[in-house]
Amino acid sequence: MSSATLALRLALLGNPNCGKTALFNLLTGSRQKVANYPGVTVDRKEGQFTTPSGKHFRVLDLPGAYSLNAASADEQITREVVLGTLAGEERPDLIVCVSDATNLRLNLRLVLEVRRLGLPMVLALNMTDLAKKRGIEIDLPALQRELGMPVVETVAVQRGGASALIARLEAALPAERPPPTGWPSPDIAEVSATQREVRRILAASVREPALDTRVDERIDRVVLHPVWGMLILAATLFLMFQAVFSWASLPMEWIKAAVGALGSLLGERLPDGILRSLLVDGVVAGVGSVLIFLPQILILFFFILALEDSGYLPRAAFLLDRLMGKVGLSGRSFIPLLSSFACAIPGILAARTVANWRDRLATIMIAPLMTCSARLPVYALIIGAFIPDTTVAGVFNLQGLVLFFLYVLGVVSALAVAGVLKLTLSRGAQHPLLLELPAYRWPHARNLMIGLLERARIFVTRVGSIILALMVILWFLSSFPAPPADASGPAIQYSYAGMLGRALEVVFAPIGFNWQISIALVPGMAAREVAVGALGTVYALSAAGNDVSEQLAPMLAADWPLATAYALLAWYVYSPQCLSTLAVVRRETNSWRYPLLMAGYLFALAYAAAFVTYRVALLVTGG
Amino acid sequence: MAGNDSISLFDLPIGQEGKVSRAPVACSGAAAERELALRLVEIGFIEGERVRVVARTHPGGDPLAVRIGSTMFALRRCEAEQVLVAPLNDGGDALQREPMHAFNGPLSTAAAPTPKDVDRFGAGRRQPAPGARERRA
Repeated sequence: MSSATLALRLALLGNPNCGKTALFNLLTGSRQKVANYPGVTVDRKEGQFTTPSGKHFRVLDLPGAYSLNAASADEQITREVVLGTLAGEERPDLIVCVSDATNLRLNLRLVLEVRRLGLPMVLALNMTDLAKKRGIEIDLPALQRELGMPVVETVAVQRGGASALIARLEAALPAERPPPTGWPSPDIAEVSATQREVRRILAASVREPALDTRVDERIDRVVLHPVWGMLILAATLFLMFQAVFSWASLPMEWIKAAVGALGSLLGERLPDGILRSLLVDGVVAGVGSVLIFLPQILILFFFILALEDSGYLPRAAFLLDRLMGKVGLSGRSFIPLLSSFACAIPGILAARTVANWRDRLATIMIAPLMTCSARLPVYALIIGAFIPDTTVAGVFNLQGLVLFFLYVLGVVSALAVAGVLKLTLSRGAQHPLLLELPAYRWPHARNLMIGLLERARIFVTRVGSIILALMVILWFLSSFPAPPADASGPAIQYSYAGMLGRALEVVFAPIGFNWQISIALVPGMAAREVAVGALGTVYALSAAGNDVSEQLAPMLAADWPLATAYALLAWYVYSPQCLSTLAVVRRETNSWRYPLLMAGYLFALAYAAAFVTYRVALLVTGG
Repeated sequence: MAGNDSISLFDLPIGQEGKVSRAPVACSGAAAERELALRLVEIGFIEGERVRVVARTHPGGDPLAVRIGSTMFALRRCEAEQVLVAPLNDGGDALQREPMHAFNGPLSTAAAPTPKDVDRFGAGRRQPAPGARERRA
């Protein structure tokens, strides 16, 4: 090996739903790095591990693929990596083909296709525990003979479930790297021939009792039912959002208390001056007010990951395909859009699984209307301050209901926008859906944990970098210049931020926003949740007592008219300001047209919605 | 091999077992259609394979969930119509059978392809399965 690290490059390749990522997690543990492939935005997951004998491996978790004959950007990447044609990515030294042992009929074809490339290969029969439970007998020596490559059994969801694989890796490496091979795209006759070969190999090496699908199908008869299935889906989503609000309250109290304690500790220890003001008012109060929403984001992702792991998400996509087809989307758009509830950026990236360009574009354009978790802090603050915490109809929390309504409003608006887009983008023929509905499985705790940790890391890094920086800038803007000695109002009124807020107030006054909100919307351009931190900073600084541990919500409740609060909620359903989303759209669509269009239509909708809400609320409340 | 008993996979009633009698073939030669046919063959829709429709959505029974091998795929109508199947009488148990398009109302309006449909999915590609619709009606 000429490479300085002496690490061997191993690539995990396999069908979607074969447990490949679980195996990747098992092999590499927490030593993972998630990035993008150069030039495109397909997730590149790399990790590393060392075998007991000391050999060092770098593991690449390739995107799931049914075939090298790519039908999506994900599959394209997989093909280019194994062919060694992807710029900036060296061809792997060894390919571990991961196959679902309970579904070899589907999985083996890819193995045969990849085998033709002539790279060193090992076949990992994953989920062998499940296969044994189902009475599937696999004759390993026979399969090995037929395929001409080492075959090992793995159980990715068990500690030590990859030991057989690790033991065979070194032996599978040839002394010399084979020369690169081409890959002629196959025609139907060739694929059919491969399929017959798969069936011949299976007949020679696998004995499989008739599959007992009774339990799955009994579930599916309800879950996929046009009426019951839809009710279950609605109930699931409703529960999910109720849980986000109610389960998170306790950990949020803890974070709030910790931030408050840190603030007062610093306040006591540090001498009065600029540094104290920066740390207490800028850093601790600002960052703390955003960090507090980590529990809610994690609970939302917990549900999304668990639903994905269990096999329910594609079924939801199946149920919604027709409805989404009406507005020119496909059921496949459901998963990117659901991810957008966490953050529009992973949602927009996930839209790459929507093979058709127009469907994908429509999905991207409406993704920001899904209520992302960055909006949650704003909603949570205003709902907490202005909506009474009462119970409706005996079971429902009124605050939760309002939150649910805001989510629904976002979804309905998204469907409406997609409908309009359908009229403007000329539609071609009907596109394929072709979505696998895998067998139901219990979500695996370890994989959920790894997924959640990844989300937590992304969020905290964001808070630690961009949000912290903005908080400090905002603190500067709102602290300088210092008020004149004979000032009567709060200091911030005389600062740069105050001036900017006053200037913007002209634009936002018709929709009921005061200058404090106008200021907060500016740093909110970088990340929506920063608006809350900004409000915290603005109010902490403008409050006479300068007491940051004092809660923001009661302050707002006393300061804002009800109509303003409602208008801000309406504004945030559409809120155009998220520079990172626009940047990702620019990159994904490779044009300025779509991000500009997106910002424009979102701003127009936000302003209109806030205007109508404010005026109606004024009339109703008699303002 | 697609004999008189073959119907389109889209027309296979819920719960009834069928055997693929003609794998997808791209007749029109359009690239998108070729890709679709190729992918259907890749995921296992080849002659002799057993399939069963597990669920359909409302309205129109499109898309449908098809069990093939040990997995299931959701297919839209245009995809399912690329595959011809021969219904099997032995495999499907009578209890599981449900009337076609159970949630659709009148069969005649919901199931019959309009001329627009046929045109949209590639003219001349699909021979409407002889006898299939008559038998059902």
